[in-house]
Amino acid sequence: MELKKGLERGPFNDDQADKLSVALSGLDSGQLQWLSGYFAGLSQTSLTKTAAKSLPSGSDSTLVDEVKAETIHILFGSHTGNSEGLAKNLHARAEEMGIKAVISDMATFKTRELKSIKILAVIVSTHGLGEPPVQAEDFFNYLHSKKAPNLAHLQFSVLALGDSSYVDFCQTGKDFDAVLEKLGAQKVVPRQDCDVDYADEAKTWQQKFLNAIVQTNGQISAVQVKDLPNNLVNGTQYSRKNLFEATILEKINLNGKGSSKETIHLELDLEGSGIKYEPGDALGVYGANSPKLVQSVLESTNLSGKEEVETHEGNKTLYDALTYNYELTPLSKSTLSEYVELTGNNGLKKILEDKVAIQEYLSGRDILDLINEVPYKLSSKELISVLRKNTARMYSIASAQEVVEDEVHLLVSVVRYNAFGRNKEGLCSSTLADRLEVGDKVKIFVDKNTRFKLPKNSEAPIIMVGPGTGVAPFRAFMQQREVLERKGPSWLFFGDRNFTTDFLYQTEWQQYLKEGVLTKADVAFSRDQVQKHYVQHRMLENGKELFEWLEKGAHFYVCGDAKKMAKDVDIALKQIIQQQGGITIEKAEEYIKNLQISNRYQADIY
Amino acid sequence: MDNKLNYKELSEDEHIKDKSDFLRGSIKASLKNPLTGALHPDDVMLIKYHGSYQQYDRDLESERKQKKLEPLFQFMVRVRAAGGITTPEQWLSLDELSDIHGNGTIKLTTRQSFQFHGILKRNLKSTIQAVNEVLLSTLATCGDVNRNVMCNPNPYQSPIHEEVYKLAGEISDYFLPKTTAYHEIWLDKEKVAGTPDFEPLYHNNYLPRKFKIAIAIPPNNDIDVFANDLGLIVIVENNKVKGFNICVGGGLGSTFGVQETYPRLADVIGFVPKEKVFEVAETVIAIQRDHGNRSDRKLSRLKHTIDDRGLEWFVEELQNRLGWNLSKPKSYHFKSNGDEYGWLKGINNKWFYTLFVEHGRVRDENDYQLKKALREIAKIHTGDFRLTGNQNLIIGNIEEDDKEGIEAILALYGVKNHPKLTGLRKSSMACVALNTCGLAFAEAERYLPSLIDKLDVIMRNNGLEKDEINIRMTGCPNNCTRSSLGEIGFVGRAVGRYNMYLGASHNGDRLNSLYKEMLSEEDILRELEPIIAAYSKDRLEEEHFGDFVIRKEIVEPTQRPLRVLN
Repeated sequence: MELKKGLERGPFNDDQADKLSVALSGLDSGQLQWLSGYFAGLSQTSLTKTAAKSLPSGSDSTLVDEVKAETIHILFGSHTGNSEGLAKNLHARAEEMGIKAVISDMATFKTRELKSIKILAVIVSTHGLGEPPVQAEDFFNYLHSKKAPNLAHLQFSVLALGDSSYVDFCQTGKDFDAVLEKLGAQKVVPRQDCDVDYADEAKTWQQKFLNAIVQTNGQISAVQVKDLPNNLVNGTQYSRKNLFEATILEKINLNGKGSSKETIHLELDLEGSGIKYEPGDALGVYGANSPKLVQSVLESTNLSGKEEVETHEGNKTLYDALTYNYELTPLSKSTLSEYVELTGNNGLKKILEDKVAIQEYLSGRDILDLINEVPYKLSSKELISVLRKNTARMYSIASAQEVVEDEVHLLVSVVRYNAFGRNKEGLCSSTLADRLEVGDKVKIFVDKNTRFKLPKNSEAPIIMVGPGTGVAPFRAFMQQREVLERKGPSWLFFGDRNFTTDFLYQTEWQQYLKEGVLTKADVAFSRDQVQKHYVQHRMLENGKELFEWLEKGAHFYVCGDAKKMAKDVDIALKQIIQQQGGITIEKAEEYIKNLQISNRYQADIY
Repeated sequence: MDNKLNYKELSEDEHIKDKSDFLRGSIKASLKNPLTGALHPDDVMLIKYHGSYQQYDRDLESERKQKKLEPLFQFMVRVRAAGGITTPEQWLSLDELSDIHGNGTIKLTTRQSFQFHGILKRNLKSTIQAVNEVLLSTLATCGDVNRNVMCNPNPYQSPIHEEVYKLAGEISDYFLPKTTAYHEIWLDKEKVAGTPDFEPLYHNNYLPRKFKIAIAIPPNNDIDVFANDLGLIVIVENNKVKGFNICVGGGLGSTFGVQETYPRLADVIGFVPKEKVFEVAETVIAIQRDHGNRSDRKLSRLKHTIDDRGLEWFVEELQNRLGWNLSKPKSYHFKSNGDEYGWLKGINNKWFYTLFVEHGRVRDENDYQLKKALREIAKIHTGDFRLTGNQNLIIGNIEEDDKEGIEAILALYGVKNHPKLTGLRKSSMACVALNTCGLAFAEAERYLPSLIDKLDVIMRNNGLEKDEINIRMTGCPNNCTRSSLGEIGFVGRAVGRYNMYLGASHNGDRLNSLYKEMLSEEDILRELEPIIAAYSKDRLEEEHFGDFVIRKEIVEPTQRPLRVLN
């Protein structure tokens, strides 16, 4: 018999070979293949232990615990703590069996880890009428979103908790089960649904799951990750001149209900672009004028919009050209002087001669105001000739590719104001806020900024002052440092109007603090009390410690408003150095100068 | 402690109490942390003893999570007033506070307390300070201690009310925690060096769970005496308080899916003369302190301590500790656990006006300007304000000459006659539930009024619009509005779904029984319509709805009847 001969060549005595051949004869190839995995797993757990126990005393018994099973990742989504309890239980049991296990709460789980997970246990409860617990919502939505990854490399099983008196019994567990399978993951053992009295069912599932892991262990490596589509750039190098059209993956107004502000967090897809950026870089984004404004300009000039005009992108209708190729807001000096040239208006001429008057005139006005105040019969060609070409708006990038990979994140403050009797809005921010949604595309390029970079030495302390959208690059900094094993201390100063609604990325900062990625944070909310508090006040309150950080080599970063904030921060910094260093104002200025020369004082202000 | 557990077996809450240094924890530091509107998790538990629950706006939960904002944490602050009586000055101060720091409303609770909702962490200290400035307090309005002592608020019936009300206050004060933590944290009092904290009754770890006391003056059971850990029924002879029937082991909270938890009425175990009442109350609390379950908080009320060992054991333990025996309970009779509305003249010849406050929420709504009306009344009122156990308000001790003026204010602000005050609405109670209560599975206060609108159509069609049927709704089985004592009781299961219970008595001495589970509004109306129609047609004279559904075997009577030891 082939089988027996084969076995005899193996490390078995005759008796063992006999028994094995009896046991194995008649099995088909599928069964044998299954067994090969089973034995591989077995060899690394129970049999190894038996063998180790029988080793003569004095030999290295630490071998017993070295089981080369794949690590099990246990993910729980818990509202009342039951799922968490079961997750801990599974964790303990796995470790007892010598299988490595890692446990995470869905609430704080980083989805990028999915890539490196081979075995996943999902333990989740169901709430209300078939909804996931709030703690699991993000992860749940992620798996059901466009961003969900291919999970062909992953084996999983779901333990679902619920209450059978509800119609949608264990619905969330069922949903997880279905979506994981849809994403290509394979079931280790079938899902187990548990009722209120879950102890026994949960235990059975746990046993089945762990046994299956041990048994299929040998096969896991055989499950190959399917090749993902190759991210070749097709030879195209995207740049300022050759814009990439990025799809909007996520768009969230970060300000809570009742806020006086509107700040949008955007996630854009760079997949296939080959675009690389670093924390501190900015992203140029092209917006488009609102149809309402374009229409008003056409009405005021008595043009239809259907006229064909020549643009740097070729011939287009006037309507499209006004929408995509030219700026209608704000009014620029060049447009004003071109218009004066054309109309010969004396009043405007005078304004053009006075620098202060120009600034005053331009402030809050757009081309429509100008046309309405000084009417002139413009041809379509003339209209285009006075307008400034559409330029990109720059936003400090709020992400690091080490973490978000093929994405880039932005933080955009939406500009809206009323001036000269009309509600007005920022060209690009309103495009993103009002006219583009998830799934739409936007033209972008990366603008490198070598003057705003994390210290080369990742263990150097950093102080980050970033109120409002100024906090964006510091989120990128934290993401960059998050993946480092050794990192220096970091300190964030953040400010905005109201604590309850305007604390941008609040939960992320809290998490970074918890994980020690961020060492310290101080916040100032200007409108929560009668006295207005700003970031510089927090700096001054912490002057002693801030100076100590500088003395220890901290790098100081400031990002955000240039007109007022950056100046106030600079003054506060000087004051701190003067007071804490016990030196003259001149010496303090010199100290700051030295910081700048050694690249330890960097500003990204606008 | 006979059931002394090893440290590991104690519940998490016991550990927190143990290391809290007499309820201090790190509350001071938590209040100062500017990065979160929440407290440290341990302090969330400890702050209950100081009179506050950390909550968050559940309506905004998902939205804020997506916005990368933490939940909108906010605090409920509960203010105690013994027997639920406050002065006009105190009322004005509470009214103002609710506008400055709260959500602009005041909730009158089912246990004669005031609640503010929506207070942000940064305003918590000034709120509690302001409460103390008008000689009210928030101390021990929550937590594992004795809570404020309830007492029938209506003095018109009997000359002994004043005496009983005073006693309620004294018992309430007597069982307050003695730690000075409250004064240090909220009132900036320095701890006197070399004076160690000492809790003569509660010891270091306080009670295993909350403890509730109420005093009822028959025939009124508006405070639901049997729903308390310790109930005292006043026994009067010759117009004097002779003593009290002692009831132990009441508590209506339960947990879905946990069989060992259930609503239970207090058993009447005996009579004690009035001079012994402190001694008895203290001993009952001490037994619970020593024998209550400290490993599972779901099973830790006095009712569990008694059911685990038997009522007979409890009585014996009590008598052993007292060194004397209780007498047999005296007879008593309760007529109703509801409120009587409108003008009533007290035996002191002053007037009392009981005002319907829908689910205890004092606020201005369209033409029904309740909050403004009460503010204006407080400005001229020389008497007091009294909270009932049914979330209503009595404007008390009004001089004959002031009656007209107060009535004019009520009329001016549109609150003299509630536009929809039917018998059903009058007898309704609902807890806060969504959006602030962290325990709620379903709506209660925000929903019951509209359900009653629909039920009233059925009642009217059957000629029952004036009939008072106790209807009570809670958002979860913790049962703050004592829905187990509703002739119709609803307990929230999920948003829009309720368990419906029927058949409690009209005077609070019989629990209701489960009728059907997981009913939607449509189901509720469909189920109740024929029952109400039958009640209208087939009821006996004076027969209450709760009694009717039992007689007609629409539900089985409760498996846990009240016991009276004789």
